[in-house]
Amino acid sequence: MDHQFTEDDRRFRQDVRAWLADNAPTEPRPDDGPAIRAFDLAWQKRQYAGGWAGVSWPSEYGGRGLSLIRQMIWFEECGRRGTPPLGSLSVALNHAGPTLIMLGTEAQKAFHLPRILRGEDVWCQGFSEPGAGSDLAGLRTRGVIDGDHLLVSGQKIWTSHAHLARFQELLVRTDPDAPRHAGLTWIICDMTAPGVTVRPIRTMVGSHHYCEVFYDNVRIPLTHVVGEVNGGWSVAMATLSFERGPGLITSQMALARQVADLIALAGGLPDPMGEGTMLQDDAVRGRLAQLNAEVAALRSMTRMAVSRGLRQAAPGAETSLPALYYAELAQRVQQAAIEVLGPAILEREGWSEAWTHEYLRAFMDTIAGGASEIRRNIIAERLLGLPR
Amino acid sequence: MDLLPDAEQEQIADSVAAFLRAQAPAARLLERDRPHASAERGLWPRYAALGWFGMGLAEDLGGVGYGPAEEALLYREIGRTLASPNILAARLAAEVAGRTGQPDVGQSLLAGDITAAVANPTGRCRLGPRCSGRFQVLDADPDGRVVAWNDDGVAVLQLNQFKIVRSIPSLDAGVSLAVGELEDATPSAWISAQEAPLPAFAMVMVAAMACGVAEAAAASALDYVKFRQQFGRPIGSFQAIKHHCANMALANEAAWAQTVMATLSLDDDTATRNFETAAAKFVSTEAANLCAALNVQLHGGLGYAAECDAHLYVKRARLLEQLGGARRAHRDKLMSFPMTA
Repeated sequence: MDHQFTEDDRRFRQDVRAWLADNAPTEPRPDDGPAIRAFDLAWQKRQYAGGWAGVSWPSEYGGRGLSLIRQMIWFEECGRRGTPPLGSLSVALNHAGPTLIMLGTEAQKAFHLPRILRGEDVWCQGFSEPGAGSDLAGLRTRGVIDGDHLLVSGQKIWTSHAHLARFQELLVRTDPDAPRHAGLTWIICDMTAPGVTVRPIRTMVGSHHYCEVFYDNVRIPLTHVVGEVNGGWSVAMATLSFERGPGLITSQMALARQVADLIALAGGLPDPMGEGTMLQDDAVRGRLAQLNAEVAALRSMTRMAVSRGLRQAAPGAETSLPALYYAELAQRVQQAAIEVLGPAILEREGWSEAWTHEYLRAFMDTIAGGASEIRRNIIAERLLGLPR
Repeated sequence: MDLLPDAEQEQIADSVAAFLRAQAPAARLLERDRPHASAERGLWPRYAALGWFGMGLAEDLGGVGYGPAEEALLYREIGRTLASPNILAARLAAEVAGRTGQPDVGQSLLAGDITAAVANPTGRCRLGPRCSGRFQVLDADPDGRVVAWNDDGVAVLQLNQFKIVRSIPSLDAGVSLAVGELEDATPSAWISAQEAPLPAFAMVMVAAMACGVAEAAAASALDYVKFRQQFGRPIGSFQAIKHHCANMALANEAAWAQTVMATLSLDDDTATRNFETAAAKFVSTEAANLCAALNVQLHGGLGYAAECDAHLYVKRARLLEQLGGARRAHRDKLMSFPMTA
């Protein structure tokens, strides 16, 4: 057991820190519309130019090919610097890219991987449907083979950044007679193809994050299938497994900084019910101390997960633990912020707007990428061995 | 950076666990209506023979020469079978005696010839070259040493220095409780936190014991829900039960990961050490309280019965929570997370 980094890794951290100090965007990330895409792609291009694109991708595919520990250091330093989230590029960098590297054809890899790394394309994920959310295998969007094409009709929903995306990892049913998991196909859909209609959905935050996507006889070449026709379920499971890497660290660090900001804020805000500041209030102080203990524990859980990763070939069900802990802690932080802010939380302008925005945004954390209830089932069944 | 134990550390943890499972399983405490300090003391020479009191002490202090990482693994197992928290008192007393020019006392403590008892302050106390305050002494032994610590340091005293020692029924029947007061008493040995960060060490070892309690309670609950049948199926197949079990696993992962980080941070700067250990104490006692309570709940009517061992974990969790001060006592250390600086 050792929490120290090697001399080489410490020097690497200094390099990362220095590069980020010179290159991380200082302007705020836009909150809505195509400006998000422009911002995210520009930041990706800058990372590519600096040789920092694809830190977790193997170097033979143009990535930086960092060890797990150095990926962690990279993401920690991004978090410390407060770099923008992966945002609209998270599907490309964390899902589609790794899936193609593992299961894509040479042609698919040669075309897409450099474009993703260079910051040319936004990707989105076409998995969930109105009738298939947590129960993903119940999806009904049809893909019918027509010569050397797949003809796709149906609907996807809750598709993050579909309105900004050029490509989509699309999961469709190609064999309706096969058992539920056996008749699916994972295919790369060009979002500019005729027959694709995207309708952004306004979220409770007030801006547009996810969309409905409609497919009306969309023709997709069969060469865009990743894996086998009707073999899409295992491809999709591989895709989802990439989600739980050290990439979460940047958000965790952002959360830790939010708690620090909240403590500083509480130290300056007069207590409307008393003489001192909000931070001198017994209940507030206890709550903020608890949150700091929990963000520290989350950091430790992630390091524990990386320690396991150093010994395992493939991540196990333990990776659900920090993901779930993060999601629920993020919401506890926002609830504490409301207690500190008081009525200011109701005013959506000025200094308090960032807190109001975060409060609303964090509702997504326990839903997207697997609802907390589903994550708990996974922990109970796969980690603890409880019967299904 | 690797928070998992290496092969040798795993071997240490396994051998400790095997000994405690055979010689001091938690269920031993079910046979007692009232605490019997002597029963726990019977194990003392065995602990000494296994080198537990001196596991983390340097060889020039008569120790085995391992460090806090190995000791955290030891105390986690001690917590798991609800073995005596006084093992920690003996370990602290041996180091304090050894470092203050009393090698004979240190040796006797390490050999198990003298016992030591935790004296936990019940409120504000003064510890230093002179000691005052009200304390709860666990399994007090008139011939043994008594160890008290707070953020200022660790003091080693004798039981007869306490005024009016009174036995009081103990919530945790695994230890007997005596309450006594010190008035300007001179400890036989004293080490300040500046000289050696022993209070932080003690806090993280209490956290390790709490992790053990939490994991044992969760394991007991998990075994039971896999076994217990209702409506024609194991109750562990029901989602409400599964989610309780997942919550326990989540709390325990947080608790142990943070306890390991805190253990390894004992060599770091003071602010980091104080923050990490306070965070470990916080999340580990939360986990212990949660798992112990859910273990009772998931055992249903049986869980409420004295004959079931579930209540033992509830009570030990509350004891460990109070040792060295509960959450309010340490929250000022938690106001700044060094990582975000």
